Amino acid sequence: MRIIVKTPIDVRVGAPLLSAPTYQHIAVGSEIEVDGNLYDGDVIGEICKWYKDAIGNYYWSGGAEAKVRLLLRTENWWLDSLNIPSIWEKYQEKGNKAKIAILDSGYNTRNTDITNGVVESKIFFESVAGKTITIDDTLGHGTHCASIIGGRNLNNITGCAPESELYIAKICSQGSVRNYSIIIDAIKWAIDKKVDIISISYGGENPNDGLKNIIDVAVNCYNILVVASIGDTVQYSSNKPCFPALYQNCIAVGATNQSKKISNVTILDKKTEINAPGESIYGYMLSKIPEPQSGTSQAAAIVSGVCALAISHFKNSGKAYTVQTIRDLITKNADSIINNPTQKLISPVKIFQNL
Amino acid sequence: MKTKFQCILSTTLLFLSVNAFCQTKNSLPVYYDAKFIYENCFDKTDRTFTNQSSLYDVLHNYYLGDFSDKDLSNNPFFESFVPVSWNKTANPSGYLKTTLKSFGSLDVTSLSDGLARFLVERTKQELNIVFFEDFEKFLKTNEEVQILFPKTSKILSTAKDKLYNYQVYLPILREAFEQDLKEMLDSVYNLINCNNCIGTKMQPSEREYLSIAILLFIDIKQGMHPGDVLNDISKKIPTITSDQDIINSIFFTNLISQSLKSDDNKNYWISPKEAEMFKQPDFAKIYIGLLYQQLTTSEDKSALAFQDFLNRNKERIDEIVKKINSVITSATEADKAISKIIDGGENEVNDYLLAAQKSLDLVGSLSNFFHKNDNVEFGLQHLINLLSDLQAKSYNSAIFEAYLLLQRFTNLSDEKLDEFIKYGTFIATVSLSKDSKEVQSAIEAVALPSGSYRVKRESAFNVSLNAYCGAFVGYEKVKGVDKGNAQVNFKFKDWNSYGVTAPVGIGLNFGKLKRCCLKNSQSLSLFFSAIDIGALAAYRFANDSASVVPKVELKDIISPGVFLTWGLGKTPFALSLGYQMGPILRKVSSSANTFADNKYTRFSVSLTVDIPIVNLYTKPKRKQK
Repeated sequence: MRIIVKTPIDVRVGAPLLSAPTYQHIAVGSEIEVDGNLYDGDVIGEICKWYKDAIGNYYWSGGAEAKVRLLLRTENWWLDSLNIPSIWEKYQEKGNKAKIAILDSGYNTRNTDITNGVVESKIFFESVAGKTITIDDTLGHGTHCASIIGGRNLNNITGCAPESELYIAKICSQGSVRNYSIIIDAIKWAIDKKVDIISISYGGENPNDGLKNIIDVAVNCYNILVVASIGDTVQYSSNKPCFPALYQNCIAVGATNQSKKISNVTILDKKTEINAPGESIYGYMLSKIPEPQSGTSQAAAIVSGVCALAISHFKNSGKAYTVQTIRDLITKNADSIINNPTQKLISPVKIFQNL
Repeated sequence: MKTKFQCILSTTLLFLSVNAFCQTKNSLPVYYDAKFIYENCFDKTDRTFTNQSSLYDVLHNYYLGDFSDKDLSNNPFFESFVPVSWNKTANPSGYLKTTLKSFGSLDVTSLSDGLARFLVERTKQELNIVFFEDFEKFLKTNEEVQILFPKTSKILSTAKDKLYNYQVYLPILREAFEQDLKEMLDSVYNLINCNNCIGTKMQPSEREYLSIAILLFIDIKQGMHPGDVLNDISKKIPTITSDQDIINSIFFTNLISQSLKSDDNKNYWISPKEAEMFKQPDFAKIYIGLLYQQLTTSEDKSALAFQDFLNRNKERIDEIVKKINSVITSATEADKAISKIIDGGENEVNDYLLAAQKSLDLVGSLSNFFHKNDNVEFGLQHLINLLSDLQAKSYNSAIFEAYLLLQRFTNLSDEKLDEFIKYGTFIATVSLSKDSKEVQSAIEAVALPSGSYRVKRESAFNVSLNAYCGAFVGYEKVKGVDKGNAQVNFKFKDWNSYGVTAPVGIGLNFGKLKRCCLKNSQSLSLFFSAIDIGALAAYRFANDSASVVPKVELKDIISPGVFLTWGLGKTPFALSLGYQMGPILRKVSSSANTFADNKYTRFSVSLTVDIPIVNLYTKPKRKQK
């Protein structure tokens, strides 16, 4: 990422501190390539954030401006649409007690907005082609969902529960899961890690008993909320709703648009328990610049994030809860959807009002 | 043990480079769909399909209506790639269709109708009714020749009773000549598929093989690429043979050929570099899977057969891919040969020859089904020659190639074959004529063929409208004068005259006279003269560029007589002994003619050049015993 110097600044070598040595004065209008992250350092005029370049020089962010502008709140419309910032402020709840397992394509290990939230990660498959698989996301989908659920909001506001603990289970490289045993193993791992929520933005048209059983175990025995996307419409496809969302113990999530109507991307099914924004949702992918994506994956991530806030609030308040409690809170405190009265749109504010 | 269909597939793949066919629902060749899927919708680390929306976007071309993952799993080549679960982000499809550029057809030069009419206008006086009536009769009585010259036959047949007014028909005849020549390959195709003409001279398998070759040549002649040629042949093949193996083979070849069409403008098929994709087993599997899926929408026998074969041999993909790779290399070479023609510019005959041979080599791969023998080799060789002759507009050579094919594969007698050469050459020459002079020459080549004196030497009996031109020495007896003639230049006691003689009349000629001391055929003719234009000829010998000659009337040149003429072997000279009433035109000059005062008769010996004008009747050679 490049920054443009707006007021004359000194290059600080090795640390974002005024005491760090400086050998160069940067003129207004100069462009500097930095790594895109903001680092805490000495405060100058109430601004403590510093940029850093590849060789460890620091630049005070008050004197420079990112050439690529930071994400505006208005662009991540869903946050305001769901009044998420009000939850953060009013209830001082950012999900710090919630543990969420994200079963997806891994995460961007170079993005501190994500890495700072990841507690643990694991890969659940081996390359059939004999290639080395790392936790690093090569698709971007896993990172996108992670940044929606628990992005740290350091550089851009993307995360719903920015203080939640993320458990990354890599179940595929490029967005498709070879077999159900991979998902089953990941759920077992999530159970073992005592997560509160398992978020699955995946789905297939075929059921699997093993998958159903492990979800039942997670929900019934370990009080883990399992959130899954109902499925996206795909042209020329017969567009059947997906498993595991179709399982009774899963919260099946559909998508809405900015007009709070059912989105065209979502498969409509009576099993859909709740809908959430699913169009043009900004999140990180393979770069450090947020990118918009659409689909029930994003909607499921938002529901997971909202549930994380709720569960964390329960924990922070010392209150007990069950999966059913959360499901009831979600469904009974939802908004109606204009163009489809049988469907409901998640309402975090109402949920928190009724906690 | 190889199954029959394994053999078919092997053969199919081996001559992939020639051919193409198959109408598919999708607009991109299978190769590029497979490539798109492999590069954009396939997880190479996990060997599963990804990017569901893009994948479905491609695959919908291979399925009828909406489909599901289950349908994908029913394809034996896709089965292992279908994931149990997809991510649920609605990625826009990156599948962009491109339009395949089609090769344009080659420019074929044609002579204008106006030129034809001009030629006819200038030459109509040179044509004669007898020739065209004979021509019509010849065509009518020989089905083989009718097939070779269908348009000419039709016109002459239509004009049969009106040939006296042949000038009216000349423009369309000339066009018919040219059209028949241009389409001679089609005609040869019809010929070898005419049971009455070929009879037992060609086995069914030979006929099928040569028919396919001709269809291939016809398309190449029209500037089509072998890939399109195969596409064309694959549609026609059921009319050529009922052998399902052959039909299947061509179907398969075409299916694969079409699937490997290149998306650039330079090559018909994908390049060897692009073919390196086949080194990726998963790509190959996707490619074969798409072919398989493509076939499921067809109820064609061949499609079902191929699908069945693939289904039963899905574990042999590696073997198939090896063959595909070697085939693509040779396909590229064929592409180069064809591209040279398609790119335009001046093409050598050899370019067409090379293209034809490349195509034939590939068709030759069908030898698994066709038994090559002398007949087939002969036919192919002369069909190639015919193709190159037609491309080069060497129509006379083309006629000769057609003659050789007729000679080999029909029951036409030698005499009829000779007639074919005669009329065929006439047609070819007229078609190639660029101006009236050339048309005149073409007509004269028939009416007064160079070396036609040989006809009377080589035939048993011949009647011709004949002229002789040369020098004479003789004895003249003038009416009213007892002996001699004072007007001649030199006086002999009995031989009192000499000069130039040019009698014109009817000759009855007896040929094939060989004697012990005479190596070559001689002829002996009884010649009845009607006129003698010796004086005019003498003037022309001396003043051949003069545009005006004094008026000569018919009565001035009438010279009835009878001669015994000895044709001297392989020379145009003849020695004559005869008696005639002499023409009264004695001498021609630029200012005035000299006429004899009295009628006279002449007994003379002359050495002349034998100039047959029209052979009215020729009895064939005596058969060798």
